[in-house]
Amino acid sequence: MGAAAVLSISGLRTEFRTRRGPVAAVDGLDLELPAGETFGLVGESGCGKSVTALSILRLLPRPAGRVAAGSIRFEGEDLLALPEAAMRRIRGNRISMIFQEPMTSLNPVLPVGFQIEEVLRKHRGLSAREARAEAGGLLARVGMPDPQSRLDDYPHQLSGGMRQRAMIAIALACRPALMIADEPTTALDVTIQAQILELISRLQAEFGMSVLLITHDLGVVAETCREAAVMYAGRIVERAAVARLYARPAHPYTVGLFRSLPRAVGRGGKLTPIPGTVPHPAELPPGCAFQERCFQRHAACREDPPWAEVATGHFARCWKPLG
Amino acid sequence: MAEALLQAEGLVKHYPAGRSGLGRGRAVVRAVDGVSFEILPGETFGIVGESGCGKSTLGRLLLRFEPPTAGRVLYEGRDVCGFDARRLKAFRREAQIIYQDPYSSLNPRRRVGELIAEPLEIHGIGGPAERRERVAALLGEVGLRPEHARRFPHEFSGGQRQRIVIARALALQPRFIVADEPVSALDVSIQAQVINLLRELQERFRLTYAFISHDLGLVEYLADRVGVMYLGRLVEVAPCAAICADPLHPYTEALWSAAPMPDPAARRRRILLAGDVPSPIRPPPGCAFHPRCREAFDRCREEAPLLREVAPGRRVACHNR
Amino acid sequence: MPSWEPLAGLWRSRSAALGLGLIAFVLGVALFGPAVAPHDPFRTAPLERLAAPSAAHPFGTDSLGRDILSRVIHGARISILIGLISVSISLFPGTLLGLLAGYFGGRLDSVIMRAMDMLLAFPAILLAIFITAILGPSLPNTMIAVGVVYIPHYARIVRSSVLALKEQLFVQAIAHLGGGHGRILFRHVLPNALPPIIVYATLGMGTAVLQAAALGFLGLGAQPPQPEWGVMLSEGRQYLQIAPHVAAFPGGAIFILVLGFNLLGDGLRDVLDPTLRAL
Repeated sequence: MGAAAVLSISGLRTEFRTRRGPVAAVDGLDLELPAGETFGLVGESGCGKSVTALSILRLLPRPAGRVAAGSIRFEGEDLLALPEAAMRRIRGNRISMIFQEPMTSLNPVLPVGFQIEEVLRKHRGLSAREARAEAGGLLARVGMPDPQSRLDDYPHQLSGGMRQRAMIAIALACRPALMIADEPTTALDVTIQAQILELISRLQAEFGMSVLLITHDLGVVAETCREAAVMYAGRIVERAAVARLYARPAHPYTVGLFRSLPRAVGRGGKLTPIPGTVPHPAELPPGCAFQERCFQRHAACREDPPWAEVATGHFARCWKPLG
Repeated sequence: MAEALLQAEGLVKHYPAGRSGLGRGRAVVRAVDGVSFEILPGETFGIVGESGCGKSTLGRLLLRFEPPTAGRVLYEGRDVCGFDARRLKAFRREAQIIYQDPYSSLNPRRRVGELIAEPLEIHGIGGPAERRERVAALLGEVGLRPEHARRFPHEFSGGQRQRIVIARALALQPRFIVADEPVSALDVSIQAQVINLLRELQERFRLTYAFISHDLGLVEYLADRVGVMYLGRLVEVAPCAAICADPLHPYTEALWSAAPMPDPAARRRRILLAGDVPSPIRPPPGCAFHPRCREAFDRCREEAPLLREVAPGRRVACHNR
Repeated sequence: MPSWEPLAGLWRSRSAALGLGLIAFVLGVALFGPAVAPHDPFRTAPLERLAAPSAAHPFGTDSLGRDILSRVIHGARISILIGLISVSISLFPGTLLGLLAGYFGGRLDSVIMRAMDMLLAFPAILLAIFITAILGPSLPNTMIAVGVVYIPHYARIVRSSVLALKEQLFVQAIAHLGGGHGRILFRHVLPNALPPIIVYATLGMGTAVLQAAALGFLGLGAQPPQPEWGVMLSEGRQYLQIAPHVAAFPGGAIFILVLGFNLLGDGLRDVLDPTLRAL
């Protein structure tokens, strides 16, 4: 915190229409993204981390999903209030996004180079020749082996790691202020994951951009982020500098995650799983959403817990934070 | 060394390659390409590798779901492909599998009770009443309730479904279980529940596990011994503690260093491997790892290293070790 | 047994409920109608030929003075039976052939499916005409003809479901446990292959009624004086100018029943389609 925020979300509520009526996938989310660094957003499936990303870019599946309340301020404007045309200029230009499965976000019938050039011509107004040269340069910068000849390859001709590199090249084409990476390495093997994480870190520093890294993997956050937030059932439950978060987690959910992690408890250590399962968003208990699975639940948990500052810059949404 | 429960001897499995090999003679995918190791009774043998390294195919070969192209699998010293019908049936009882995906491994149109009772029916064990009792007991073993028998799979979460799959695998009182990425489809907090369950059951029923996974953290936590696979071959076999502390093969070393540690204080030097895993249709000559290996020298490009013992219980396939 | 719980969703679809209602109405008429029909459907009254609808004859009378309402009521039973029997004639063999072809594959698959392709190569109505021409025109032969014509459709649908299902992990898991082909086919593959053929069979009932009516109309199906709707339509054709009600009422009856089956079939498709069943 403290430093300027590149993006600030407040009171975000995103709803989905379901058979049981509207259900809030994200509810009352506040988040300030620090400028010029990589920020981690961690959570298990269904916690609303991807929905948050889609809300920022206004890419929610329509008509099922919609932002019901809140504001998202970016470069002095509320993204939620912008007309669609203005939003389109921001998307892929000032804010870009990379996804878990690059195969589905690349067009399978167009060469990779064409897809990069398209962005360059549309958003940066380059000529066809300039775009071609720049596309080759971008592929080289994302560490694509043999970049010039790869320009004419179709997505299916590339390996998973190379496809993700191509996606990153497209995302970087317009030198965005913010790049949102939603589980960018989940579909990749460990050795390839290491390459891509290294690449994202390097490019973040080179371009001085901000990165929002969304992941379920606490290991990935530990290795790439300076600060991170933990999400549970549509809200942020804890936020701290990574070194602090891992050393002294304050929210019982975060503590539970660490105790569930074989690598964190070590060989011969005992895994202490979080009991039960994540409640359906339509069936959240009043007050703290985690209370039913919490090892220190008490009467106060039926009231909305405060966003308590446990230490400088370390917050937890809990009545009895640890740490 | 104790008598092995299961032994793989020079296992090879080639599949005809699909369209990609068309017109170039008979291209084959070398899914498993000469693998030998043994699994001791009561241990957890971890099989680690990245996607496409052949670890799942290896698991299927161990259970005789398909015949190997060459080599043998010995169960209690006897070739599983030489089993007669009676022995095969017994083997089907004693050796079970837990699949990765708990969503697709249960028939959505049958009740949980029927699904768990099915192995008993197939093997003609007990009457309907006994089977019902056994199902209730099995549900209890895996942390579910007897009344869950009347529900359908879609009424359960992923973790609960995996418990149902485990209950079905336990129904026949097996000795050996291949767990093929049993928790990869689950969230961290649920993973831990299932891992604890697997460990408890191992202790209670003296099970032997072949634990196939791409997740080094898990293997490190669970396995007694580990085999690391790369492009259809074992590059290193060693006790888990030894391999974690001191990986010998350059690939093992890179793999271990690449796995992210959930500990920011432990930010260590990562060994970044260049490039991708080559295609198993045209693996590089010599040591399959040489194009990505920073220690490769001439011999690696020509001659495939054999898996040989370099210290008691430690085997590695590398010319440099 | 398979879960039919999603069927509850049928009630939520207005068109499916309407279809179900129409079919239930015709079924009710078929079951109880003959008992309450005002007249004998076969009794001719030469003096009352082609009478317009009136209190005594709500649907009027035909060229022989028979009461059209009573004939339409009796015809409901025939049409429902045509639908049920001819669909059964295509459904059961078609499903079995599709199961075997898809599951065992190889040469068996080639033989079965090529035979099906041959059947499919003829236009349906032409093939039905051909079959009734060989067997002789009668109501049972109509059902056989209409049934046989659609066997390949069911075989194809089932085969393609089976091809997908046999690769499913839960099917392979049973083989891994040592389960035999019979168990795999009938307990695990068939129940999961059913939804699309249930939909198709429902739509097929409507088609069968239409086809049988067409054969009746051409004089190759049910024979006069049977009160089959197609035959009645054909008889009324000559008087379309002077007494349109003779053709209109049986035609309307065909329309209602076929519409019912189609609406229900579409509704079933919506409920049974797993891609729409999320959440």
